[in-house]
Amino acid sequence: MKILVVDDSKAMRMIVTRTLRQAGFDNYTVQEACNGVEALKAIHDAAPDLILCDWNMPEMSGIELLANIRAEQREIKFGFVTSEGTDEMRAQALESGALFLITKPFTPDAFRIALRSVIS
Amino acid sequence: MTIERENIFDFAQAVWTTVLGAELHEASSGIHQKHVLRGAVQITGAWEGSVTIECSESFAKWAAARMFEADEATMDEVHDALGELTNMVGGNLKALLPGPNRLSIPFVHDTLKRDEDGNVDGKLMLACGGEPIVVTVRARPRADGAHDAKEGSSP
Repeated sequence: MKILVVDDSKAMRMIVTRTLRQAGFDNYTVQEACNGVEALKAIHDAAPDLILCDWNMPEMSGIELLANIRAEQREIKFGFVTSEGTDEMRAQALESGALFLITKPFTPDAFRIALRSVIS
Repeated sequence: MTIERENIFDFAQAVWTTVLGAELHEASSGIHQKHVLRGAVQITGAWEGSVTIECSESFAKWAAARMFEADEATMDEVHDALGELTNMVGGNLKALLPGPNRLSIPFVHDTLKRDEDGNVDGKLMLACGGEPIVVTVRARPRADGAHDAKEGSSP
């Protein structure tokens, strides 16, 4: 199983990858992209099974990336990992097809709870 | 509007504990160095202003090394790390401000310590391992001289 971590912060991409391992999801191949444009290229090269994506990024935001993926009719599992978790953003995320929204800062437990039903 | 000190402290403490594995304490004084690293995010919409975190370069280097699990971080990594800490604190504080709002991409610069224009809606002097940290929420001055949320905005 392949997981694509999308965040414009290199530090955060490392922390997300580390937290996946700490949460017990350590048997997965993790790829990285620094914005939505890079993520789309990675998806076209080899579609991941799950995308963990920041919301606010240069070039192409997370919600724009999700819209592009759905426009291409790709059924890739998608979750947000973002510093903002207002009710409005959660609603927009779910309406757009995201499965969950994890707010930063997060713990391994938050990953376990969000990903348990997504990764079987 | 005023952001309660407790809110700033709680959000900053959560970020520091979870990301850096370090405790924050309230401090009685700010940063003494002339040069500081300042991470900032801009908020635009019904409320306009910024959330900034100021610290010494030595603290930012320590924090970046923790986040990258490295003995030493490059200056690019230092800026990335402080930007992300600011993004997390700012993103959480944004939820307390009148909305709807947009959060900018964080940016970090090495600067002389100075007071910027704008009304301080919340400022907290903190310390981590003896290193001073200053978190400031500052409204952008409006043309009519007011600093608060735009009238007629919806939450």
